[in-house]
This record gives sequence, C-alpha cells and structure tokens, in this order.
Amino acid sequence: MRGTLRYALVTALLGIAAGLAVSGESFMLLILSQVLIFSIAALGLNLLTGMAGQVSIGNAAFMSIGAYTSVVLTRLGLPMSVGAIAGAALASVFGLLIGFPALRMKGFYLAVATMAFGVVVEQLITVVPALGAHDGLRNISKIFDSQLAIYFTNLAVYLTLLLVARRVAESPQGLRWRMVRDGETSARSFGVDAKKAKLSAFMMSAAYGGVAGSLYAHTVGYIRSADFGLARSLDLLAMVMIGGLGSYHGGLAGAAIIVGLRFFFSRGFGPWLTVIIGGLLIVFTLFFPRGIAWGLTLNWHKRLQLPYLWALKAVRKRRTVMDGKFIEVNGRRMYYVERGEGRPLVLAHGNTGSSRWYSRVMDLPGYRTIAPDLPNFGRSDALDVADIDAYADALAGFVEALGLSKPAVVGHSLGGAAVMAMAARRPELAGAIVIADGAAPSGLKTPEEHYPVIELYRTSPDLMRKALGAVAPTLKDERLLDDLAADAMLMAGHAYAGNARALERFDYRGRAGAFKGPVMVIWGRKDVIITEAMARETAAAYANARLEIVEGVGHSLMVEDPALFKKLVGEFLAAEA
Amino acid sequence: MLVSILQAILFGLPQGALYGLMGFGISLIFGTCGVTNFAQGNSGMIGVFVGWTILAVTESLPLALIGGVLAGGLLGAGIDRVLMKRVKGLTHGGMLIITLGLLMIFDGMALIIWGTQPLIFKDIFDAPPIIAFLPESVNPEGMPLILSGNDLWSAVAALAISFGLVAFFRWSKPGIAAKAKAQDAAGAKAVGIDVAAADTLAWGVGVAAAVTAGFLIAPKSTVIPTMLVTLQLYGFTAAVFGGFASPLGAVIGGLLLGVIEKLVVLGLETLLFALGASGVNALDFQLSVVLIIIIVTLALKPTGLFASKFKGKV
Repeated sequence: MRGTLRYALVTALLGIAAGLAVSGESFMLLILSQVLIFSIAALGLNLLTGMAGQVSIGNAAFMSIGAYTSVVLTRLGLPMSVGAIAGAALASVFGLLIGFPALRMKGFYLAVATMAFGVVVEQLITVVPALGAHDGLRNISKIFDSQLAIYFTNLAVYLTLLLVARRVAESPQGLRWRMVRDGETSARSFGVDAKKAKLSAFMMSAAYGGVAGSLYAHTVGYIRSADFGLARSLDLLAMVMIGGLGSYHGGLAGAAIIVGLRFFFSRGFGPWLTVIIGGLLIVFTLFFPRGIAWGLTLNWHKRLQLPYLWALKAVRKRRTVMDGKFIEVNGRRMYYVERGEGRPLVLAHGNTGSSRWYSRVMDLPGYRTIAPDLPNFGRSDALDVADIDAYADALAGFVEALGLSKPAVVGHSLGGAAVMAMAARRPELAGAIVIADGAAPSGLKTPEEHYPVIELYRTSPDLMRKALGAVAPTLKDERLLDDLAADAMLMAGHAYAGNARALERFDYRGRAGAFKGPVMVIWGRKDVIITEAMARETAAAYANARLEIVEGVGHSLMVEDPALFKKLVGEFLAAEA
Repeated sequence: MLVSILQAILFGLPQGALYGLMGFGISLIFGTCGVTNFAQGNSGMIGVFVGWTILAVTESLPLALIGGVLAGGLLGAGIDRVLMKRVKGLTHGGMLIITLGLLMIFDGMALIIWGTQPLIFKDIFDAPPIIAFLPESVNPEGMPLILSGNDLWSAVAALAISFGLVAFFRWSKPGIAAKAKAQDAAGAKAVGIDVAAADTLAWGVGVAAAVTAGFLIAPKSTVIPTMLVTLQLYGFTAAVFGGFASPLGAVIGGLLLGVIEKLVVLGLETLLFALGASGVNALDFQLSVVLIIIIVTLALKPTGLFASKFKGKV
C-alpha cells in the first residue's frame, strides 16, 4: 500500500505541475485531459486484457455508452456526476452482456465477439435521431468553465480509479483474474470460479470505459458515434500494449504517446499516424511485450537510483553507528560495536546484513555483546572473494584479536553458516553457538532464475528494502528497515551474487559435528528462505542441539521480536553455563 | 409474399458465396496456424488495389486479376515468414494483436498510396440479367424474379473457387500436410511434414482468397481502403457458423448467412411497414442484426452450427 500511495502522490504532483505549466494554454490542457481520459479507458482494458487475459477490441463502445448516457441524462437536468455514474453502470451492464458469451469462448472468439459488439453499438447509435445520428451531439455542457479545473477533475478521477484498480488487482479477486489468465483449467482446480472472475473483469473494465466516455463528452463538448469505433478500440489496445500489458500506470504512457501523436499529426497526416500506431503495436508485441512500464521499472532498479546510491554510500561508509570501532583482523579492518560487561557474546549477521541487525538485542544483562560487520559487509573492508570459510576465518580471527575466551557465538542466516563453519574448523574457540535461521550443513541453493534479480539489488535500494521487508515480515519499524536497507547497500559489489554462490557451495555435512559444545537452532515459522526441514537438518548435525521453533515470526527473530530473541538466547546460555 | 422470399433468397445466395469465400480464408488460416487474422479484409484490399493499378496501366483484366491474386498470395506468405514465425507457439493473443497492427498499417498505406477517392473497377462478368416468372397459380401479382448477370457469375466463380480450394486442401498432398499440421504440429513434424511451409501455404492461399473476394465485390463497393472491412465481419460470421476451424463449414456458413441476412431485412421491412415507421430504413439495421447473430451463436454454440467430428486442439 505504501508503494501505491507513493506512486499516486508522485503522479498527482507531476500532473499538477504539468497542468500549472501550461495553465494559460487551453489547447494544451485539453490534450492533457484527453491523455488522462484515455488512460482511464486503457486502465480498464488492461484490467481485462492484462490481468484477466481476455482480449477485447470493442472497449471503445463502453466509452460510447458512457458518453451518450451521461449527455442524455445531463440534458434531462441531472447533475453530471449522476450522469457519469449512470454511464458507468450502464456500460458495466453491457460488459456483463458481452461477458456472457466470453464464458464459453476462447480468446480469439472473444475478440471477434467484442469487435462485433463495438460495431453494433457504433451503428445502432447512428440510426437514432435523438442521439444525433451520424452528426453526433454538440454543445455538451462542460464539467467546469475553466479548462484548468476540467483538467484537475480528470486528474483526480484518474488517480482515484488508479488506486481502486490497484486495490482490486492486488486483492484475492485480482489473483483470481491472473489465475484464469495463466491457466483456466488449473485455476478451476484451485476452486476459482472462472465465470465469475471473467464477468467481474468485464464489468469493471466496462465501468472504467463508461467513466472515461462520460469525462470525454463533458471535456471535449462534442461526441460522434464514429469517435468510439473500431479504430478507437484499437487505439486503446495499442495504449495498453505500448504502456505494458498488466501494468497499472502503463496505460498513461501509452495514452500520452498515442494521444500526443494524434495531435502531432493532426493535419493531413492521418494515414501516417494509422501506420505508425499499427507499427508500434507490432513492434511492442514482438520485441517489448512488457511495454514501456516494464522498461521504466527496470531502469528504475538499474540506473535511476544510482545517484542516490552513491550519495548514500559516501555518507554511510564514513558515519559510524552506535560508537563502533575498527580492529585489524588478518590485515583487514573490521568494524564492530559492543555493549555491556560480562560473558562475551559475539553476534554475526546474515547476507546483506550489518551489525545493526542486532541493535535491538545488544543490552543483554550479564553479557558483553559484540556485533561485527563481517568482511565484504557494512563498514568493514572487502575481501577479494565471497566465501563462507573466509567469513568463518575472519570471525575466528576477530575472536582472537579481541582476546575473547570461549565466547558464545550467534549467527543469523549466512552468518549461521559462517558460525557453523568456524565452530567446525576451530572447535576450541567458541563456548556455545546459536544458529538462527541459518543455512543447513548441505548448503542453500538459490534458484538460477533469481540471480538476475539479485544483481538488481546492487543498484536499487528500493528493491533491497522490499527484499529485507520480506525476510523480516513482522517488522513494523519502518525507520529500522530503512537503516538496515541503507547499510545493506554498503556490501561489496561482487558479494551480491557471490554470497548466493558461496551458500550454494557450502557443505559441512559430516563436519559440523566436530563442535561438541552446546548448540541451539532457532527457526521462525514464517521464514521464506530456510525451511523447517533445513532447520531440523542443522539441529541433527549436532549430538544434542536444542531446536526452537518460533511461531508467528519470519526469517529474522532479532529484529522481529527482540525480546523473545533475548529471552531464548539468555535462557539457553544460562542453562548451559 | 412467396416471391419476395424467393427473391430474398436469390439475392442472398450470391452475397453468401462471397461471404463464404472470405470466411474460407479466415478459417484456413485459423485452422492451420491458430491465428484469427483481423487483417484479412485489409490484406485482400491491398491485393485489389494492386490489381486496379495493373488494370489502369495495362488495361488487361486477366492480367490485373492474376497480378492482384498473386500479390495477395505473396503478401500473406510474407506476413507468415516475416512476422508470424517470430511469435509462433508463444501466445495466440500476441499473434492476434499483430494482425490488428497489420490491419491499421494496410489501412494507412492504402490511403497514402491510392488516396481516398473511390476508384472504379469494371464488371468482371458482362452478362444480361436473368428474369423469371413463376406460374400464376403461386404468384398472382405477377412479380418477376430478378438476378443480375454479374451477381450470378460472381457467385458461380466464388463457389467454384471456394469448393476447389476446399477440395485442394482435402485431397492434395500440400493440403493434407496443412491439415496434419493443424491437428498435431509436433506429430506432423515427426513424420516429415514441413510445418513452416504448411503455415506459409495457408497464409498465402488465405489472403489470395480474400483478394478474389475483393475483386468480385469491387464493381459494387468501388475500390476504397475500407472496401473489405464489412466483408471481413461477414467472413468472421460465416467462419463462426462453420465452427471457425473448418474451411468447408465457412463456405456453407457463408451461403447460409447471405440468405439469413436478406430474409432478416425482408422481415424487418415488413415489420417496420406494419408498424408504420416510415422514416427508418431496414438496411441500417442489417449489419447489427447479423453481428448480434454472431455474438449469440458464439455464446450458444461456439463449435459452429454444423459441429464437426473434429475434437483435437485446445
């Protein structure tokens, strides 16, 4: 929801700025209004075609129905808002009617049926004198006198409908649409009522068309049946394809291009425009099937955040947190923070982590808690490689450099693997170990298709934040999440894919048990990375490990429920001491 | 009344033969390649324009007809080889949208090259109209039945071509190859059929059929970019009647559609006359009624009116 609101806010600000920039020129405002109106219709079509997978080439007819209904009702003296709502309602009734055949039809039949529907609506209107027949209706009352006010009205309606569309598309209803789109038979086998799903998509799509038609009539002030013919339906389809099938804001980009082109080519170049739009339709289908919206999304993650990223690294790398210190280990500097006095407790973070992950559990009475940034991570120096044994050796070197005697060592996730490796390679170093949602002795295979996404984390703080949000699903502190994500970006570039590969290579089967001291394994029920079987495998690698399964938290107990983390670790260490 | 009905049927059959020829091409391409070709009408239109240009330059009608049909065949084969082969097996939606793009491109190209002025294409068949009188016992008003010579011979030509092509695709080797590909592409490939060639053949012949239909309708419609738009809709309807994947079904569906259409107009005229609505022209509703028939047919009997034994292919 946060993303939706942010997007809506950015669009609103850009929209207001664009409107104010050309506020003196009513012609430009009219064009901008039309872009928004067609975006609404394209959004409706995208819900149907992109989300529910039903190709329609008659959606302009819904605009027609909305436009004529609204004009007729306002001429009878009803307010415009009533006209628009009635237009949307009538359009969605027609959407239901045309949706019924769709229930029994495969995609191509449906395209023929919707095309036929569009032509019927266009033709029938031309034989009704009360609707102006071929000449259309003129002198339609405008929404407001000022073109700027009309534009802002269109903007407000667009944003509202955009939020509604996202809300619906991300609800279970939207999921049902996508299931029907991706495989009707399998959707049915999961209990989805495919009929209802398709009909609801048709109705919603038609209602959006109806609203757009009504806005069109009261913005332009003149409608003709031919304005909503097959060519217009194809324009809408082109907007969706160019903008991005299945994207929310793609329609806006598509509409801007097509409406903009239409004005650019206004005099005598109509046929060229038709050729260009047809050509764009083919080029985007063949070469950019995910449209402009996808291109923008990819660029946002790959390039557009880079300036912010550089600034963030420059500031963060230098600024120390929680009065941390540096210590030299094996010729490289390692950063660490410590709290309290007593028995030493070393806390090793996971992949894309930093010492900050333990910031909420450092105050453990009776313990001197020490959380380092592992090499390659946070403020510590980078290594040339990303390897669990290297991290284990760094950890061992860190323990020796600080002169800690038999410390308890906690490892989270990748850090869990590092602690497991350290304890196996140097069993004499640690007094007890805790592995929290760590990789199992057999390693952790990252699916090959995830690697391109992992590379995107490197250049996208935004995506990183989302990913961390997923591994700490119950963390509600947005500020902490922001900080964790910012620290994550300090990781060495080669370690993004490198750490995943390292966990893939990791194999301590038969070797982990070399550590004979007390072991506790913690696993959160909502963990999306480590499975229960992996946690059990880890526990089984030791002679008498304690396994704590925690209900209701995800991969990251120390940030999700710090009090419980301290309680579990404290009790375990007290019992073993 | 009887004469009016017979006359409606007599007007309907030649129209229906053209619808059937148009529907044949649509079904052939759909049946073989799985694409609903929305550019069928406009591809045919381009072929007719080429024919018109050849006629204007050489003044030879046979050359114009052959040239136009060949151009259409090459255009169809080209669409398959250049565009469709890239998306084959990916999505039906993608292929469909590409044909929609072609629809727009051809429309614009025709306007750019040949302009908006309607061009005249002369009658292909120059024959006197046929006038017949029914015996007075069944026809007391003494109204004659009329059929124009051009209509008659166009219908004969359209039916001969349609059935000839149906026979070709049923019994010739390339035709059987296309059919095999339609039923099971992988299996056809396994027994050594050139699947790609089957697709290209279907596209080439399908578009050439549309050009032929265009030539036959050109004397009435004149040669304009939108000349085959309506005929394409009728072709779709014919194909829907026939079950969409069956070319023979489309030809028969076309004849049926032609007759139904004229009877619908007759019925509407009678109804409007009885209601005393003088200002309304029944012809205005003709297309809408036909299209509503499509939607209803699709909803109630998506396998076509003569549901075939063919049950493979999802």
